[in-house]
Amino acid sequence: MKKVIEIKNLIKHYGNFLALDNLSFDVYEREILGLLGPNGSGKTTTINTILSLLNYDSGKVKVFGEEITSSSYDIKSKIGVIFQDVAVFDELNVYDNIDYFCGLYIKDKKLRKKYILEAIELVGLKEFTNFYPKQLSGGLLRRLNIACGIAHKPSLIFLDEPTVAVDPQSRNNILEGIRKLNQMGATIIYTTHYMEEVEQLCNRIIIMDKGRIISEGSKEELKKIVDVHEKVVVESSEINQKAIKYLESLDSVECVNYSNNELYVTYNKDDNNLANLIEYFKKEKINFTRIYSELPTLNDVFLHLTGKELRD
Amino acid sequence: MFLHNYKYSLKVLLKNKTLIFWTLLFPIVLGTFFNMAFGNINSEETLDIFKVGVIDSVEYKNNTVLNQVFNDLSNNKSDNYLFDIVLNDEEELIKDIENNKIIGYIKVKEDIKVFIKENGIYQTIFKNVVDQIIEYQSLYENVFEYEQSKYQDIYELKLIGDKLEKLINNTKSNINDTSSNNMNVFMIEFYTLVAMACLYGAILSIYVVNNFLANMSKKGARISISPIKKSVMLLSGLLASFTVQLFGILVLIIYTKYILNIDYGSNVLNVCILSFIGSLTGLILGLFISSIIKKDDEFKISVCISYTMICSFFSGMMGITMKYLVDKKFPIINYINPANMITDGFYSLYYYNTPERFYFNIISLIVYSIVLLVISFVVLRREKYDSI
Repeated sequence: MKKVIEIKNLIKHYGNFLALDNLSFDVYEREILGLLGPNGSGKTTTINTILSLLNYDSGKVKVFGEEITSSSYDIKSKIGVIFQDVAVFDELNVYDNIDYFCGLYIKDKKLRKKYILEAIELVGLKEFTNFYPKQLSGGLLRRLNIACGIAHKPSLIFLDEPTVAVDPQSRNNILEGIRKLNQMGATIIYTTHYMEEVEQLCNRIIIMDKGRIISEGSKEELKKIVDVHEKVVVESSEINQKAIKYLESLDSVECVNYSNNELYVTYNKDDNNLANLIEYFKKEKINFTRIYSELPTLNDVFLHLTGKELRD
Repeated sequence: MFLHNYKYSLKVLLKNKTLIFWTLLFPIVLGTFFNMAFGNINSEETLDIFKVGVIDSVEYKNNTVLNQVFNDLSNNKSDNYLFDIVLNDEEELIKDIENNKIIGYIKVKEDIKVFIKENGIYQTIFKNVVDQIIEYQSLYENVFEYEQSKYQDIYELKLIGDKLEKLINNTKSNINDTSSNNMNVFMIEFYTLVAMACLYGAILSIYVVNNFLANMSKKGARISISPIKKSVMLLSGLLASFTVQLFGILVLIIYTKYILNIDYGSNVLNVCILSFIGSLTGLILGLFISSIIKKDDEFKISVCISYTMICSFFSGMMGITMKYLVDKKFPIINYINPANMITDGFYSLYYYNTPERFYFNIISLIVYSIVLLVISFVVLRREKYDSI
C-alpha cells in the first residue's frame, strides 16, 4: 500500500523535556490510524511536527513522498486539520466560517459553495448555518470545527481529540462523519485518549507514551499482547471455598477473586469458559443473580504495557 | 485569495464590538467629553449680534472716543461688528429693556453709566466693552493733555489715533480670538485625540496578525497549514484593518471639525496626508507589538493601549503643560513619540503657514514606521516555532 506519511527517528525537545523520543512510523493510504496515549504522551506534538508547525531536533518527516516545509503549498492543499481546541471566528456565522477556511483552498466560488453545503450536511449543521459560534452548544461547535477542517475535501486529515467534552449524540455524529470521510477516500490520523473511539474507528493503532511508540498493530493484534483472554464476572452470595479452589485448579484460569459478592475469574484461554462455569454452578446448586463475560480492551493492553491506565 | 482574506478580515473586524469601541467610538466619546469639559472652543459660532441702547444726548455726541468705538462695533460691515445701537430717550430705552429688545443701555453725562436688567453673557460683554472704553478714554485723555502741551504736533495725534484703533480691535478680539497667530491651546487636546485614534489602529492590526500566527491562536495554526503564503495573509489582513482604521479617523475628523468645530487649518490635503500616515504608523505599531510579544491578543492590546496613552500624555492630552515641558526639557522623547509627531503635525497645519514643521513630523513618522516594520519582518520571518 502507498505510504502517505513516513516518519523516521523523530526527536523533539521542549527545553529539557523529551517530547518525541526517536519516533518512527508510517501511515498508509486510506487507513484510519489511531494515535492512542494519555495526555502528554506526544500525540499532538507528533501531529504539529508532521504539519511543519513545529521545529524538531532530528529525524525525517515525509508527507506524500516529500519532506514537508512551511512553503510546501502543494502538499498543504491536500491536508485538513481539526485541532483539539476549536479554531473558528466568533465574528462569523457557521456558513461564513466554513466559507473562509474552505476559501483558503478552493478558489472557485461555485465549487466552494457545493463543498460547504456537503460539509454542513456531513456534520449535521444544516439548521444552524446562520448561527454564530457563541450561539452553538459545545457539541455543535466541535462539529463546526470539523466542518472548517474538512470542507475542502482533503485526502489526508488529522483529527486531534475532536470529541473532547462532547455530548454522546454529537460524538456519534462526529465518528460517523469520520467514517464517511474515510469511505470517500481520505487517509485519517486520529488522536485520542478514548480507547472506545479508537476501537470503533481505527484500522491500525499506535500506542504512545512519553514520546515513544510502545506498541502498534490492529486492535486484534494488540489485544493478543495481553495474557488475559476473557474475564467472567459473577454476582452471587453463595460462592464457597470449594468452588473457588475448583476454579483455581483449572488450567485455563489465570486467577480468581471473590469479594463483595462478586466473583472475578480471569481466563488465559478461550475454552467455552462462560458455558462451563454456568454448568458447574448448576451442578453444585450455586445460585447467581448475574453472570457475564468481558473481553480484554485496549485499556488492558495499555495497562499491561505501561502499568497505568490510559486516563491516568 | 488576497481579496477573500481581505473581505473576511474586514467582516471580522467590523463585527468585533470591542475593537470597534476602542478604535471608532472611544475617540468620539472622549472628544465629546473634552468638548463638554472645555466649553465652546470656537465661540464665534455661538455669539450673536445683540442690541444696546444709548440715551440720545449732547454728551454722547461730543464723546469722540466713545462715538468712534461704538460706531465701529455697530458697523455691520466691520470685522469688529458686535452689537446694534438703539438711540433714544431714557424712558423709551427702559421700556425696551423691559421688553427684552435691548440688553442694556448707557447714559453719558460727566461720566458713563451702564444700565442692565439682568446678568448674562451679552450683558457682561457690553459692560466690559464700556468699562474698557472708560478706562482707555481716561488714560488717553491724560496722555493727550500731557502730549499736547508738550509737543502739539501731528505725530502725537497720530499716535493717539493708532492707540484708539487698537482699542477698537482689542475690544472684539478680547472676546473672541480666532486669529491664526493666537493658538487656542485646547486644540492640542483634540489633536492628541486624533493621534491617539491613529495609534489605536494598532489594536486592529494586533487582532488581525494574531489570527494569522500559529503560535498565537489555533485559528493561526489552521491558517498556517493552508496553502497560502504568510505574506499574502498578513498584507490582506493588515489592509483590512487599515481600511477600518482610516474610516474611523475620517469619521473622527468630520465629527470634531463639523460638530465640535475643531480647526484643522485650511490645508485639507495635508490633513488627509497626516491622517493617512498616522494611521499607517498605528497599523505598523500593532504589527510590531504582535511580532515581538509572545502573549495572547488581550495582553498585546493592553500593552498597545498603555503605550498609546503614555505617548498621548507626553503629547499634551491631559494638559498642554506636559507638551511644553517635554519640548523644553526632554525633546528627545518627541523624536520617538508617534503621538507627538501626529499632534505636532496638526498643530503646525493650524498654527504655522510654512510647511517645514509639518513635513518634519511626516518624515519622522515615516522613519519611525520603517524602523518598526523592519524589526517586525525580521521577527516574523521565523516561520516555525519551538512550541505552539
